[in-house]
Amino acid sequence: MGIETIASQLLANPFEALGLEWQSVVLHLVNLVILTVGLYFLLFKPVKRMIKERQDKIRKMEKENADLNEEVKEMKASTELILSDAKKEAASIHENAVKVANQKADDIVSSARRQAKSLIERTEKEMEEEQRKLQSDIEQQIADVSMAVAEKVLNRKITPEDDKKLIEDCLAQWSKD
Amino acid sequence: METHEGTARVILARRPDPDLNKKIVAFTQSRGCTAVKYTIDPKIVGGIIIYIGDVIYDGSLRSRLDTIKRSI
Repeated sequence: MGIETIASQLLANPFEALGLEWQSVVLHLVNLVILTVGLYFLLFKPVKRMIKERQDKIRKMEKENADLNEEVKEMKASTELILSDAKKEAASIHENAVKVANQKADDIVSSARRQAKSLIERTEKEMEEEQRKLQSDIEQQIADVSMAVAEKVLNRKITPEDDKKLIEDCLAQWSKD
Repeated sequence: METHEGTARVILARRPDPDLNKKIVAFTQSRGCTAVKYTIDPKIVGGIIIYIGDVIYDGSLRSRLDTIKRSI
């Protein structure tokens, strides 16, 4: 049998050509439809619902994740801000502490200088006072010695005539006054 | 002139001779004194100090030395 013959038989009566009965095919089709409908209601719909629920759940989880991520981002930003502020505050505190410490150090040095200056001035003053006192004592001693010497010299050198002349001069002077 | 009915106290380093005595008496009388009481005190070195009432005439070398000493 040639190919043309098989093709013409298939076109003329395909069921017979394939060894099938059309009732059986229809029955199979009906079975298929029933099975499909049954499967649709019994399996496809619950599965679809389950998939939808799963998708909703996943979407919800994604949304939650997104929200959570957003929250985390906000928290991170907030944390960074707080950290930045804390760093700034720490820097400010450190700067202030350094300033205060420097000021304190300057005050201490200044106070020490003032005290040293005061001490030097006081010491100089005391030394000057001591020197003046010493000079005065020396001058007093020189004066005492000079007077003692002068007195002794005068005692030895003044003659009764000199003394008389001195007294007469005094009396003359007082008589004039 | 103020008169002092009393004694003038005169301090000298050595005893006065009569001439000097006369001059001292004359001076004290001119200041109203009727008598003179002498004190010999070598510490005045030389010169004379006369006390008449509240007035002191100090011409002693002691006082001059003291003046010089103070001025030093």
